[in-house]
Amino acid sequence: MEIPQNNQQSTENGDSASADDFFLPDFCNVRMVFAVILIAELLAIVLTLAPLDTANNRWEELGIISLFIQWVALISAGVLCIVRPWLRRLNVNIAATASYIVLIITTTMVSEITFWTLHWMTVDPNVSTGWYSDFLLRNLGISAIVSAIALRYFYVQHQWAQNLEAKSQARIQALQSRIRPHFLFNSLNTIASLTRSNAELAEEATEDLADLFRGTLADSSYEVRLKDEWELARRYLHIEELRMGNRLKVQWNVDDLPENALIPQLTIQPLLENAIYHGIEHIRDGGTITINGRLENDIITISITNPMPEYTRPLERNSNKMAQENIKQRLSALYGHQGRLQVSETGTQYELTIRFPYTQ
Amino acid sequence: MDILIADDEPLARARLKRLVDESDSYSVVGEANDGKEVLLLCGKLTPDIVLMDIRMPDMDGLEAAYHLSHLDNPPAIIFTTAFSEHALAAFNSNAVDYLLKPIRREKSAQGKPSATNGIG
Repeated sequence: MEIPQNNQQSTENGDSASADDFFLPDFCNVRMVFAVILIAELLAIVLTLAPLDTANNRWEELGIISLFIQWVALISAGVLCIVRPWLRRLNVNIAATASYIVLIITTTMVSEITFWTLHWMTVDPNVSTGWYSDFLLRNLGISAIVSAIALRYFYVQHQWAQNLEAKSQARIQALQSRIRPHFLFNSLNTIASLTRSNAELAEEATEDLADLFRGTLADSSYEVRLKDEWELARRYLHIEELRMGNRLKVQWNVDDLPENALIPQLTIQPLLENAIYHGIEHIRDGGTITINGRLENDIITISITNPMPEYTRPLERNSNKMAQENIKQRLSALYGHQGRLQVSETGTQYELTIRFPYTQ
Repeated sequence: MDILIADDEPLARARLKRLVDESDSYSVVGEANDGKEVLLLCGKLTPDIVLMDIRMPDMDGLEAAYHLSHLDNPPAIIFTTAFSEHALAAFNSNAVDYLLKPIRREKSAQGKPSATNGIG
C-alpha cells in the first residue's frame, strides 16, 4: 500500500480545519454506505465473471459471492465508522495502516464464519480443513489488493480535494494582499501636494501609482518574473520615498538572483509595505530597509530587514501578521513545503525571510 | 487664529500649510514631526488649533491629544488621517473634527470655524 510519507500539512492543521481534513470518508453517512454496497456488488460481479470455466450456475455464484463480499464490506464500513474519530487523531500513515488491518481482520472473520456455517449446515465432503485454508488465502489475497486500492483511492481523492481548496484559498489570499488604503490615500495626498510645488515629481508619482495598481489588479495567484516583481517594488518605494522624505533609505543586495526566476506575484511589495508601515514610519529619524537575495542549491532566499520601533500598538502587530500569513499560505500553495516564510527579531532589527525553489 | 500643523510627512505638511495660508484669518505658527514635538510646540507657541495626523512616530496623534487635553488652555484638535481606521478612537478623544486626506479645500475651510466654536 502506497501512502506518501509526508502529509504534515493536514496533520498540523488537524484541529483548525473542517471535519473533512481526514482522508478516510465518513462511513456513517448513508450515501457512503450506499456507495460501499455498490462497489462491493461491482466487485462481486467482476469475481463472478472472472473464472474461465465454472461448473456452477453463474447467477448462483454471484449470489454467494455477493453475500460474502457485502458482509465484509458492510462490517468494515461499520467498524471504520465507529473508529474514525479515533483514527483522525493519528498520523496519516498509522491511520491508513490501522484501516487496512481492520479490513483484513474483517475478511478473516467473515471467512471463518462462512466456513463454520458451511461446515455445520452441509455434509459436503469438500468443505474440509484443506478447502478452508485455500478459501481463506484466496479471500485474504483479494481483500489485501482491493483494500489497498480503496484506501489509496480515498487518499488521492482527499489530496485532490485539499489541493483544490488550497488553490482557491490562495486566490482569496491574493485578493486580500492588495495595497493598503492607508498607502493609497497618503500617496494621493503626496501627489496633491506635489502638483503645486513640483509638477514633474507629481507626474512621476502618478505614473508609479498607476503601474503599481495595474500590478495589483492582475491575477496575483500566479507567478511573475523576479525582474517584474523588483520593478513593482521599486515603483512602490519611489512613492514612499517621496512621502517620507529622507527618513527612508533602501539597500538592495539582490544581484546574485537571476532576473528570470519566477516568484508569486505581489510578494515583495507587501513585505516592503509592512517594513515601512510597522517599522520605518514609527521611527522619528527613519532607517534603512535592506533587501538581500541569494541563490543556493536551486533555492531562492530573499530577506527583508528593517529597524524596529520601540513601541507599536498591539492592533497593528496583528495586521502585520495577517499580511505575512497571506504570503506564507500563497508560498506553500505554490511550492508545498519548499515555500517558506520565516521571521526573526534580532534586538533592534526585524528580519523576514522567504524561501522558494528556483524555477524559470 | 494660530494653527499648528503636525504630520510626519513633509509634503503633507506643505499642502496643509498652503491650504491654511489661502485664508486671511488663519496662519500657521509652527510645524511638528511627531507627537512629542506637538506637546513641546504647544507649550511654546500656544496655538488655537492643532491640525494633527494620527499616525506619527514616537508619540501618535491620539496620545498627544490626550496630553493636550490636560493643558490649562488646550488648543482645539482636528485630526487629519489617510484612512478612517482610527475614526472611532479619534471621536473618543477630545477632537473637534476629523478630516480625511487628501483634504478638500472647502472641507478645511469648514473645519476651522467649527473648531473655533469648540473653544468658544
